[in-house]
Amino acid sequence: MRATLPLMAGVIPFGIIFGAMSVAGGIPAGIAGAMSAFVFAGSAQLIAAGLLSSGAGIVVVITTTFFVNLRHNLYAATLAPHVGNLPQRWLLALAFWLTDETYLVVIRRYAQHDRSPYKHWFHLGSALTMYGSWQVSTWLGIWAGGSIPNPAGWGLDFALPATFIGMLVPLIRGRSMLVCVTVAGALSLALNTLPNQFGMVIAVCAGALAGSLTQRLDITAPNRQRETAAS
Amino acid sequence: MNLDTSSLALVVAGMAAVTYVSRYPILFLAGRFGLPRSVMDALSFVPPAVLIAVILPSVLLRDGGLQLDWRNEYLAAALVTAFISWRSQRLFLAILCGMLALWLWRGLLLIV
Repeated sequence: MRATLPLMAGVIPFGIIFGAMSVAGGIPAGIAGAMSAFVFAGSAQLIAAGLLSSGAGIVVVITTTFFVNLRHNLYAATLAPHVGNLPQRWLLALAFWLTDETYLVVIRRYAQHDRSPYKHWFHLGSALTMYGSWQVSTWLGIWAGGSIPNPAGWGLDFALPATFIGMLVPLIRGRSMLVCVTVAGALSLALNTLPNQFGMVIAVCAGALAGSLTQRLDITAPNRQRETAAS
Repeated sequence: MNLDTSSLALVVAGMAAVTYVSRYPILFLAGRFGLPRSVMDALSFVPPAVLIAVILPSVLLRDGGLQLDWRNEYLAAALVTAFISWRSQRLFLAILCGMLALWLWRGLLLIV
């Protein structure tokens, strides 16, 4: 619980932003609340709120959610060795509450070398704290968004891009990340005229592919140089 | 927004389903079999690609066209946010400065 506190402070404003953005975009309060209760995925919900208010269709929103959440597979794969022995009902529950923040807190706890048999209780506690904060902050945002007239006039529509810029900047390390971001960014602008924002999905796939290819080239290139130097 | 409430409920149900699918199966399977290295590598590039693909259109596209000049207050605020984030590495300081920059820039544009 104490280890989760700093991240709670980080999550609550996002919940408020999500609630306020949804209301601003014309999404009914009940739908926004249900999304937080049943989907419980911050970035996916923010993007979905943005997509829905700009008029995207059902298929686009669900497809985008799928792609945005692909990273959960990465977390799940890293956590799997630590929770693989737990009973099935534990896995079903922990999977539902798996988020970026819980992952970040919990993987550190699992990495500690003590042999405590209760680490999965720590995991559950952290996850439930996050879930509670997310529900409360969503409704706070819905309430705030409903009582402020014309949120876009206040620049509330910049809250999402600003948040994402703040999340993106620390991620850009190294050439492969730069290639990924350049390709995805350029395509997202170039393909913007495609219907229902399918351009974004293509941009993301192309960017991730370009990034991982560059990474592979960067890893193999020094080896090749070493081989030539040796011969 | 051009969806009615029942379509929106469908969106929420679909989102919940694909989100759970992104969490549970790998948690269950990867414990036993593991993932190919190449797939793991490519997945790690998805978050930054998503972020930039949301940021750029919302900052640079105004009224359906690319607006790359100083009169675009979103561009100015985005540059401030990125700079503060880069120098301080503190998320909420960056967002706060970005929002302030947006309001200031709007005020200035009204005067000019």
